[in-house]
Amino acid sequence: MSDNEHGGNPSQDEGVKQEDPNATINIKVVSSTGEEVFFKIKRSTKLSKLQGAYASKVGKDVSSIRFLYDGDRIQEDDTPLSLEMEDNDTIDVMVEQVGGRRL
Amino acid sequence: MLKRGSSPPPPKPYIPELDKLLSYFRTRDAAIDERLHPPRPRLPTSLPEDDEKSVEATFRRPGVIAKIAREQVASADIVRLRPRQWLNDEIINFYGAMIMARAEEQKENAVPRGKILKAFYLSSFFWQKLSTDGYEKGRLAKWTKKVDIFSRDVVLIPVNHGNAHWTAAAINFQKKRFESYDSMGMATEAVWKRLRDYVRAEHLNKKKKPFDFTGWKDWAPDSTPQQDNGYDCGVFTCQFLESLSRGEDDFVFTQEDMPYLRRRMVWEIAHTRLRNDV
Repeated sequence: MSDNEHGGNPSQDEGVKQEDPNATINIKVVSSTGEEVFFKIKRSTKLSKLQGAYASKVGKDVSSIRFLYDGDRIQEDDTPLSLEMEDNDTIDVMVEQVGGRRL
Repeated sequence: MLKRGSSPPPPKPYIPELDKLLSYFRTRDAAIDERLHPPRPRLPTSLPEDDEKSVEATFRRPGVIAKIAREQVASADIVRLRPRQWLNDEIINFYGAMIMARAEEQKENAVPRGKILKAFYLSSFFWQKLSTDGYEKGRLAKWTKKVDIFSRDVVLIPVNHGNAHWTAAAINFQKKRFESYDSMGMATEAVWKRLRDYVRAEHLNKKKKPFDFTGWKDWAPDSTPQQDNGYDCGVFTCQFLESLSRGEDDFVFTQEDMPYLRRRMVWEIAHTRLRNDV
């Protein structure tokens, strides 16, 4: 976390797609009420691990919350690599919605 | 009786009685009315017997019931299709994914009524992001990074109101209408305004120029089927969206079809495809 990544990377690397599965990526997880939690994970790490870690951090059951990347529901086997996520991308966390009538 | 030399009386003109006249006009008007508004096909009250059994079996299954695209429905969700239960986002978005899958197959004559449109479905969380965060902060431009909504016939959007009510909204590019269908007949103006704001922002972002709203109007017909209870709005919403994806906005279902439609939806979800038999 203390790495100065921008200082460490030669500027010509910018814009080049980072394909190394062992490279890490910073991901911001934002709840529907705006709270932010930051994660740093490998591009090859399954996002289900991040989901589990987030759920226990905020004290929620994983089945009661939905993780979305650019509107797409994140699947069990998805990784930052499979979703073509970029550094500092955001994951939205939404809670179950219900409805039957206007109260 | 005739006097000699006088001519016969002129024939009595035919003057129909008022009753007959009125009856004639009523019959004629009814015929015109029927041609303008053909009688709605009635939905059945139950599925074929084997399919009813399959529905009961689905209700008893534990765990994940079905998956399609990026959506899934589990046993805890499917039981919400039992009578009187409120629907959740999992059911609504699974239904939306089935509508999208059918739209993408683009088969000719796939349905008995209407025609499969090039529809695009935005999940139930889209409206929440749009309402609470807005287009920029909600990063909604990225929700359509793989699609040009302006090339579609219709964009379908389920709307959740205060975690208590579901309605359907649509951006109808064919008919140039911002549409809202509410089985409680309430949500309209706020929905229209937000649809307009979204189209304005999305067009500026993707096309780099203002959207031309010429000829566009707001639409929420009085004929929208209404619920008479406190639990069926999610079923109405799914059926509004499904009909709209076939270009049909003269909905054939009513409140009394809801018990049947709930069971049909269970069958459709378990088989990951919409029934085209009605």
